Amino acid sequence: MNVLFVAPSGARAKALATETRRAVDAGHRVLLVAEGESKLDGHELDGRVQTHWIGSSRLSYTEPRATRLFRRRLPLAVLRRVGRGPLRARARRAAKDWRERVVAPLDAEQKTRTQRMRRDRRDAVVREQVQGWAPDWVVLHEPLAVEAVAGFLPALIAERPALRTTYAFEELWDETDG
Amino acid sequence: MTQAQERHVAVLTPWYPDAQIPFAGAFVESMAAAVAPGLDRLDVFHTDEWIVNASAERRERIWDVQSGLLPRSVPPVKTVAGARLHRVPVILPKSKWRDFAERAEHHAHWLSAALGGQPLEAPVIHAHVPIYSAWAALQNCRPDAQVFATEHASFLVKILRQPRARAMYDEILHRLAGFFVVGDVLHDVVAGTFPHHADKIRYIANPIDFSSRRERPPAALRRWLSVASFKAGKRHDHLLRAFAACRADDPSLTLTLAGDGVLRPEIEALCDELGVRDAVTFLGIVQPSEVPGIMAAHDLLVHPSAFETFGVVAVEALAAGIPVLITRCGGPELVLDGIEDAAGVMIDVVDDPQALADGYRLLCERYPMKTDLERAREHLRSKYGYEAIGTQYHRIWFGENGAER
Repeated sequence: MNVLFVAPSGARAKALATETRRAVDAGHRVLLVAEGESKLDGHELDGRVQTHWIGSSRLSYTEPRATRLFRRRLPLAVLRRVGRGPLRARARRAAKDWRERVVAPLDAEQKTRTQRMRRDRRDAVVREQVQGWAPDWVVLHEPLAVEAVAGFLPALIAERPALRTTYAFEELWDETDG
Repeated sequence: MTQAQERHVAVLTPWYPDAQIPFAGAFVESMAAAVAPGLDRLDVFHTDEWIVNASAERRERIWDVQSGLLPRSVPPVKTVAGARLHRVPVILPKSKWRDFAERAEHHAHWLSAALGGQPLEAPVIHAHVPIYSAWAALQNCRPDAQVFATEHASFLVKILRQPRARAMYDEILHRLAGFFVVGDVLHDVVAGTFPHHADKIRYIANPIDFSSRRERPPAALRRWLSVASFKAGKRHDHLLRAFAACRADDPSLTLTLAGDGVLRPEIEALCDELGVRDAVTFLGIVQPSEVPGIMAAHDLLVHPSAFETFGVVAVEALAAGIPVLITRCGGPELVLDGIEDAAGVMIDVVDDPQALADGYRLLCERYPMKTDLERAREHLRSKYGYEAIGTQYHRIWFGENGAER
């Protein structure tokens, strides 16, 4: 079987290392889609496990130069300059006010856009791998995995009802066990 | 319930060993192994909390998809003794404080989703901890099912401080067919909060594996062992100071510390300060399945804890065939009642490591002639072995003759 582990953040890294090894030991082809090796917290993967790193943490939103210049740097530079003279207290208050009213929302916007870019990248990579690798079994290893497949997995399951989905890779119970 | 009916039991638990935390809920796994023989079918439902840190909009999307995926994504997997294990992720929004009643509702909701809206098939359900599992069981059981629960939670007092959770707990106790605790402390908390349910509270112990042991009793008590997390109540400082004092008399003594925790740097520093670093081995966290082997590879369990609700390590040590040097700290004196001298030496909880060192010297004088490990082991096996506890559960679930098949 082709077993695909979706673990964008590697939140359960120890289990991921154990379960992917368990899957290759059971004779399956295993592909892990995760953010990056560094997120696995030192838990070494079996060499037979194929990996596809999302690498979304390298992405960050870059502000337009005009915004950076005219809304962040220039006003604060002017206020710093003014603050060297007799208007020091007023300039400091104005700079504080500017940071709160203008710079802080810009920071928040930058953070939101960065998160969105990373999420879009994650979802695109997961979609590409799930649809392109033709897995027989998808392991949704953490809550973010559920979010990453939300946009396409229900439709894929409708197309391929035999596609197995679980939240961990464990040996299935069968009648001979009972 | 008659013998002719199917003996199908479901166990619900928020903790069960998995690849991420192999020791979490090991006592539930032991319980499953103890009760499975003699049942036609045992299903274990592990409702495992997954915290989701996402905006309301994204959460809604995850919730929708999860509702569709759950019924097809929790096939039974293998666990102990032929039982079927179902892992049910309980996705929860991240919150600053733990609202226990709300969490219990989430456990009930996602269990229902996993069951496809159908009730649990089993006519007998045993839940480990009322909040969350008994609530989830009561919301998802057949109308004619009997639901039992055991309280183990060390954070019970925090649960009962929340008015909504307390009211939910009260309702659970009303609806349960039987309610059990694993020690006096939990009994007193529940009886004190709900005096009108005091008569309903009964005791049950966690089963202990007696299947393996040392081939021969220890010849001398030189290899000390401690199995305890590194936290203040376990009093590793007393242990190390007593060990250092005894080692001054006998340099061949060694000490193995199984466990880990926030106090590890302090414990390591104390080893250096006492000059016993070379004689102390740190094993770190050990898997429950490794404990019998570790016990059997040592000569003596030393456990100077200030408080224990039960004292499972004392039973595990004697099951493995080694004596104990342990404090009378709540649970151990009840567990070892009637076999104190046979099992080793018990000392009072006093703020002086010398008491532990004196206890060791006394044990060395008494061992082996004035102890009787075989008698102690047999006594404990008849109370806490898998067979004894399994029989007790069967009687609870199926009536006085329930253990017979």
